[in-house]
Amino acid sequence: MRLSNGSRTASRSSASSGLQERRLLDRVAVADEAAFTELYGIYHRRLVRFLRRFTRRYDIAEEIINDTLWVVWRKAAEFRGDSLVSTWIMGIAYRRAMKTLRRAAERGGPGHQPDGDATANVDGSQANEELHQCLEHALAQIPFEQRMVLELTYYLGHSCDEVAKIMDCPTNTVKTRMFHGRAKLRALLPLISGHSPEVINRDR
Amino acid sequence: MTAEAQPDPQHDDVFLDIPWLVVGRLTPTEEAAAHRHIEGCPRCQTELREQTQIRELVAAPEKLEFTPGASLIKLKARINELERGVPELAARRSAQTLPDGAPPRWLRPLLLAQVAAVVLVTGLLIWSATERWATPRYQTATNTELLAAKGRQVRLVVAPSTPVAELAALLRAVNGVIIGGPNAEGAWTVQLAASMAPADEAALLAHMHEDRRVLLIEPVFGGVQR
Repeated sequence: MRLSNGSRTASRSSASSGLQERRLLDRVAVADEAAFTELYGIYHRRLVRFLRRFTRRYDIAEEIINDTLWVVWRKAAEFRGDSLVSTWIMGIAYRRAMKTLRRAAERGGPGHQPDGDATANVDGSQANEELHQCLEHALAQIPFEQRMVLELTYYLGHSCDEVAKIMDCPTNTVKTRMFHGRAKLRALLPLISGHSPEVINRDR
Repeated sequence: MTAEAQPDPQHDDVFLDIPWLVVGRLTPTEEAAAHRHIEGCPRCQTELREQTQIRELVAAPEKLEFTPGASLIKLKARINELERGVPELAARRSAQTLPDGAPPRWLRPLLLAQVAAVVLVTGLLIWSATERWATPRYQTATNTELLAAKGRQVRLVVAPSTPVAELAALLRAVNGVIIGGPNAEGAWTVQLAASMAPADEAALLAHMHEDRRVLLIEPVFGGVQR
């Protein structure tokens, strides 16, 4: 199996959006509210979906998003371009998420568990809906750090180096977390290997 | 001897990198090396197929969309609130201009409000000056007739970071208009409505005193003592 031109297309798209975000951030650094509104829109969309895999409560996701973008507003002028804007912002979001979600978990609320229904049906087909439900169920059982690596890579499309910067850990740690996350996901998602949903439901 | 008996030394590296091959985030060199290995490795071929499918599921568009509007409004209110106490942040905002020198869009209504306030204050000053020509140039605390006619006057000092629109809102809340100032200490002279009962006036001034934007409010003469 060989992938199509996806790799190069993804790289070009990433570079282009990186440039656009850098321009926006430069304007935010001089308190341009219009640029901040645009940047907020981009990251609200990305983060709300990303965070809802870790909490079903929108208010908690919103708190993390607003804490993150508040830091972006204050610190934009200090960004020196050592990484992509997206890596910098996701690093802030990751730290905020860790803190807020752990606090929510300590409080013992049910809110930190993901909501499977929210992402259930995508294209209306029964098979896909079952796959998505299985995925949500499987992801919920994977340790936080491994799930984070999976989401940062598969949903947000970050490179291994970028994930390492976001999570402030070595790239080998990222690869190890991904390896274990993949293994657990494979074991929890027999549908991927061609098993029927009945088997999964029976095994739960 | 089979290929499995003599595994490619690159297998472990490629196997670990498959997720980033799937999302197109390997370097061209790494990507080419990965493809070369995968073509001869059934295990990596299966892994690539499975991870591609998982990635499609994880990244599939969501049915439920959350719009950012309400959250952004909350954050902007928080920014405005917090920046009030941080002069350098407020200064950064007030110093902001676009590359062409034009003020940013968000600042334009504020500038218009500022111009309107300046016109209003100028008008009031002219009006009060001309009125002074038609009335005695002196007044005393016992001149109750004059007080009743003009209403109370107070000195008002607000935090320097208070926007003009907020100052106007404060004045509306006490039914007052600026008739002088600001002086060297930044104090405005505000005329309260003549029709206001003393008790209402006291309550309003007390309420205003609680406002964090108000640094000082006191009667010019007579009136409510604070």
